[in-house]
Amino acid sequence: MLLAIETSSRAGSVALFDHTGLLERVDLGAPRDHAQGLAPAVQRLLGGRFERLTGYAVSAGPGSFTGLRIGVAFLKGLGMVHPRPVVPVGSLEVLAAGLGAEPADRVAVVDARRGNVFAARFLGPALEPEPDLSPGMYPAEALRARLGGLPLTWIGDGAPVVAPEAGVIAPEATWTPRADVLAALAWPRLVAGQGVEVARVSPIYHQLSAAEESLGICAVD
Amino acid sequence: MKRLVPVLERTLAEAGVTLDEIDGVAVTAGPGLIGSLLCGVEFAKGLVVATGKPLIGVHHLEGHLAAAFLEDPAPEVPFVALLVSGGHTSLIQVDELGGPYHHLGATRDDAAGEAFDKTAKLLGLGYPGGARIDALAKDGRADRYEFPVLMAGKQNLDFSFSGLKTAAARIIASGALEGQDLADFCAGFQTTVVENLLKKAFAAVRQTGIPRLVLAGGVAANSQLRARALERGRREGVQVFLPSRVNCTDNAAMIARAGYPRLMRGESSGLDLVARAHWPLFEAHPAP
Repeated sequence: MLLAIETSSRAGSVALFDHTGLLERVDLGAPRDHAQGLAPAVQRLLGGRFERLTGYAVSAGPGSFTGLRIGVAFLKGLGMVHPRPVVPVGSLEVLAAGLGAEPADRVAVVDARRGNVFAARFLGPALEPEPDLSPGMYPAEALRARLGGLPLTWIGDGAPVVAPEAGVIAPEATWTPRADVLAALAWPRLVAGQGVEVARVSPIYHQLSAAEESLGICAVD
Repeated sequence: MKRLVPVLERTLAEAGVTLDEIDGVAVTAGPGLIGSLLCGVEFAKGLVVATGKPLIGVHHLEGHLAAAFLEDPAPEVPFVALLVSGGHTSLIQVDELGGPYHHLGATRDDAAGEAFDKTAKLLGLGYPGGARIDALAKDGRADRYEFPVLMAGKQNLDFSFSGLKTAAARIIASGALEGQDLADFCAGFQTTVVENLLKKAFAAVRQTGIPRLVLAGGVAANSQLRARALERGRREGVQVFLPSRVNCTDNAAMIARAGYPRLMRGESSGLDLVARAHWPLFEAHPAP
């Protein structure tokens, strides 16, 4: 059984997943409530069933700095007591996979403020990562110039920021990365032995937070 | 974030304790840098969700007050605490560890540690520079440069350090300080801070009628502050208590010490505990 923690966006969630599929998903409250909502939600979800856990999945970023810190720090606490392999999954991949089996190439795109977006392009229903647009932070305008005319599906709250002239913007209801999608992506990787030790998991920020910029500390560890 | 797991593993190993033997988890819930606080609080929540043990959110300043209780013998209560760090300069009456705490006085502008750090930065001594000023001051003459007498009002127990900072900046701007000049400057600056802190601290002792003074916070590691506090204490019949230097600066032992009595009383914070960047001590522990 896998516990998946998704707190990279404004609407976080947690989920339990096993070989039969999704067991349960719990949505956390409003964005600023991740810090209040995550621990009680996991406690409610798991009850005392830690011994049944075989691994963890965490949405590793990029996304909300605060959300990522909350998710990863909490997971480290859990994982110290109940050590299991952790499968970190890029948050843009979780977002892209939320659209289901879509034939078109898609771009997961998250508003990173100040005219920037976090973005990654995935090819076809298998979500092959497109090396030309690997997960990272890009100026929205440059992305529009490069990809705005292509027949792509854009998913995420960064889509209106890029405002592509061609292609399709996925419905707003799909703009949130979800823990059940994260779990479904992570499960086969966990089974294939691709998990890592919890101590080795770090959030992927792809940029400096404002606080860290002012302190001159690099956030990418 | 990277160090959370290895540091806890090492601490447990060195103490010869396993996580099963832990009865509760205390964590700094504020005030401070929100990103760091969040990491600590959520890590602690992960530990308590996994173990079913109680979570205890601790106020950072209460941790500093608790540092004295890590020593043997611990100070007798009640006492007056002079809490001086990079972010705080306060006089607090401590009736009991865990409160009530009574506000006696505080800085109206900069914290004492901030005055040290900012001046050290102007001198090009790096950050944090309090310890460097302390070291340089040992070879200096305190009466060489003139610093303003610091006064936030004679009648109250408040502090003010902005005037000193300005005077220091003016002296530094008038010419590069090196060698003996630098040592004299540091001695004068440090003496001004120390004497002002102690003047108000001993006034607080007289005002409350409690003949016990505890130094706490990072600046309490300053050697001149420690020596002068002991000296004045002997002269004025006040018992002065100095936590060891290593317990003055920020550390987790003091947070554990502050959380422990609460754990013993069966108190705990909810899993919805939120880290707070701003959190007045007297809001966390209101006097009855």
